[in-house]
Amino acid sequence: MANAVVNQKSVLVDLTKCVGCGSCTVACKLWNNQSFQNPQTNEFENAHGVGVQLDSNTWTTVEHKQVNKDGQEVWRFVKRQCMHCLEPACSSVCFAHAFHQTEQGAVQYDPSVCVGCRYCMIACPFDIPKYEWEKVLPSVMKCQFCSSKLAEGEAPACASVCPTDALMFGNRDEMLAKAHEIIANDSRYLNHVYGEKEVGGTSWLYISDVDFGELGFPTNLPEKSIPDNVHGFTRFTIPIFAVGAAAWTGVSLYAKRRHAVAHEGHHAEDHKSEE
Amino acid sequence: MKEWVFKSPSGRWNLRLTPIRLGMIAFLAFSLVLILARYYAGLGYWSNLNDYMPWGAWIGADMNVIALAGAGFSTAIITHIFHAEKYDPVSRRCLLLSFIGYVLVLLILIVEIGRWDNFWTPFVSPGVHSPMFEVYMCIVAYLVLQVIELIEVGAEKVAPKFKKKMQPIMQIVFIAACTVPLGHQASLGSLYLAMPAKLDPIWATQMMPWLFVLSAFFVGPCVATVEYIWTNSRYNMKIDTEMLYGLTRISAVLMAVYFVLKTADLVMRGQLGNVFAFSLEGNMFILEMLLLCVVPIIIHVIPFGRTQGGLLTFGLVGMAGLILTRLNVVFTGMSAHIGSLGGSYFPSFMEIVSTVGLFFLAFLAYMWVTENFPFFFGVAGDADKEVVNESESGFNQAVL
Ligand code: SF4
Ligand code: SF4
Ligand code: SF4
Repeated sequence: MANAVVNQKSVLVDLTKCVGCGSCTVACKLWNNQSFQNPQTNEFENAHGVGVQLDSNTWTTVEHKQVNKDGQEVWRFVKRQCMHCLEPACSSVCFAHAFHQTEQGAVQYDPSVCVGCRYCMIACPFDIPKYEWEKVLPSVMKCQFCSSKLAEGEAPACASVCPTDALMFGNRDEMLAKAHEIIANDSRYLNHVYGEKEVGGTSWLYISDVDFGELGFPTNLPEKSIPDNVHGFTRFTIPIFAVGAAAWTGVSLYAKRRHAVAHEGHHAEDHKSEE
Repeated sequence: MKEWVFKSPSGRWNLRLTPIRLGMIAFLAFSLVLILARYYAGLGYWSNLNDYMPWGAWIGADMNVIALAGAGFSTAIITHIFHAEKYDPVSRRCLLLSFIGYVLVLLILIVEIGRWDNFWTPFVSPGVHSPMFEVYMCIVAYLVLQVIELIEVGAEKVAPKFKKKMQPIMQIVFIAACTVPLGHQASLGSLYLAMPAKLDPIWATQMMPWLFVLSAFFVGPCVATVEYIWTNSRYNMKIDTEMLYGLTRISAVLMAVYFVLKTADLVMRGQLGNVFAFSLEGNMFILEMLLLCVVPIIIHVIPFGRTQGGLLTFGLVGMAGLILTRLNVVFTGMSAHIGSLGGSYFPSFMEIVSTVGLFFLAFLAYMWVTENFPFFFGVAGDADKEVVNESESGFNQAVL
C-alpha cells in the first residue's frame, strides 16, 4: 500500500518502569477533550486500574494486572492504545477510505466518510477501534497518536507526562535500537520487542520482563501484515472478471454451437430468438 | 384456505391476502416500528452488538442470503452459459428469487450500518483495497443487471415488442450477470482473510474466497430444487423429477470437489487434529461438512435421491449445510477470540424481530410478484405463446 509516511515516529513502552499512576490516561482525556464517563452507563470511570477497557471515550488505558513471574505474584501495568501499525489493517479494510497515515505514521480516522460497517473494528489485530453505540450517527473511536502534536515535532500527550520514563518517544529506528540495547544490557528483559515484527511492525513498541501473552497481548500474530494477507486474494479481482467473462463467452458459444449441431440445425432458429 | 383478493379495475393485477399473510404483515409492521426506533435511539440501544462483537446476526443473515441468492447465478450459468436449456424452468424463478434476496440484503444492511446516511461515500472515497469495496460494488452492479434481466422477462406480459428490442444486449447482460457474482461471492470469503489470528484455524485459510464461491455455486441447484418442488406442488403443476435429478447431479459432483479441497486444505495446514478434538469448533465443523457435502452426496447416489422426497431432502440438507458453514465463520469460529477479550454476544430481540420481519417482506414480495407474473414459471422458448393456462395451473388461488 502506498504510504505517505516520511518520518516514522515511535513510542517505546518499557513495561518494567510503569508504576500505573494513570497520568498518561488523564493527559489523553484532557488533550482529546473526552469525559471520564462510561459511554453506556454514564458512570464515572478511571481509565487505569484492574480490568479497565478501552471504549469510545477512552482511547488509552493502563490495566493493572497481577501475573505470575518465577513463582511469585507480581503487579504489572500495561498501557494500551492503538498501535499505529506500519501497514494498518483498519485502513486497508475500510471501503470508504476513512483512514490515512500522516507523515509521522499516525493512523488517522475521518468520520465524515465512514459508513459504519465496523469492518475496521473486527479486522484490527489488536481490537482497538471502538464504537459510539449510544449515538444516532456514531463514529469509530481510537487513539489518533496526537497527530497535530506529532506534526509539530512534539511527543504525544501521554508520553509527555509520564513521570517514570516508561514512555520514550522518538524516531522508530532509534527507538528500536534503544529497545535492543536495553534488552542486551539487562538480563531481566525478555528478548522480544513487541511490535517490531508483529503484523508487519507497529509504531508503538513494548519491552517487558513478563511474557506478553500473560499481559494480554495477542501472541499468535503473523509477521505478514494484514493488508498483505488480504491482498493475496484481492489481486486476483480483475483477472477473475477478465478470465470469467472470457471463459463464459467461450463456453457459451461452444455449447450453443454443439447444441445446434446436435439438433441438426432444425432448432437453430429457435435458439436465435431465444437468446 | 380463506382468502381475500383485490383486483385492479382491468383485472390484470391482483393482490391476495390470506390469514397467514395478514399475520406476516402484522409482524412486519411490528418489526418496522422497532427498526424505526433503532434510527431514533442508536444501534446500541436495542441491539446486542458491542465493541467485542461488532458483527452479529444481521451480518450473519446477509452472508447467508447472498450465498443462497447465488441460486440466481449458478442456474443462470447452467442454462445461459452451458446452454442446458432443459433447466430453464428453474433459472427464471431463481432470477427473481435471487433479485429479491439481494434487495433483502440491502435492506438489512441499511439497518445494520451505523452511518446509513453515508451509504454513498464509497463511490466518492473508494477504499479499493478492501474486500468490502468489491462486495459493495459487485452487489450494486449485479442488482442493475438483474433489473435489466427482470425487465426483459416482465416485458413478456406488458410490452412484448420491447422485449424483442432488448435481445441484442441480452447476451452481454447474461455474461456479465454470470461473471459479477463470482467476484462478490469470493470477496465475502476474503472478508475474513483480514482476521487470520482471530478466526479459528479450521476456517482461517487463504482458500476461503474460493470455497465461498464454490459452495454458493453448488447450493444454487439445492435452492432451485426446493423452490421448484414447493411451488409446483402447491400450484398442481407437474414435477419433472428427472430434470431435477440432473440438476442435483451438478451439485453432488461439486460437493465432492469441495469436500476434497477442504480436506486437502486441512491436511496441508496440519489442522485435522483440531477437527477431531471434540471441541465446539471441531464438532460444528464436522456437522457442517456432513450437511454441506456428505449427506447430500449419499442421498444422491442411493435410489431415494431420484424420488421427489429425496430431491427435496437433498436440497434442504444442502441449504442447511451452507447456512451452517457461513454461521460457523461469523460466530463459531470467532467465539473463542471474543471470549478471550471478555466479550460475548447473542442477538437481541430487536435484531431477531427486524431480520425475521424483513424476511417476511421478501417472502410476500415473492408471492405477489409470481402471482401477477406467472410466466416466471414458464419456458423461455415459448415466450410468444400462451404459457400458463391460469385455471389449470392454479394461479388463481393463493397458496399460503
Ligand atoms: S492497532 Fe488497529 S486501529 Fe491501530 S493502526 Fe493497527 S489496525 Fe489500525
Ligand atoms: S466502520 Fe467506517 S472507518 Fe471502519 S471500515 Fe467501516 S466505513 Fe471504514
Ligand atoms: S504515565 Fe507513565 S508510569 Fe504513569 S501509568 Fe502512564 S506509562 Fe505508566
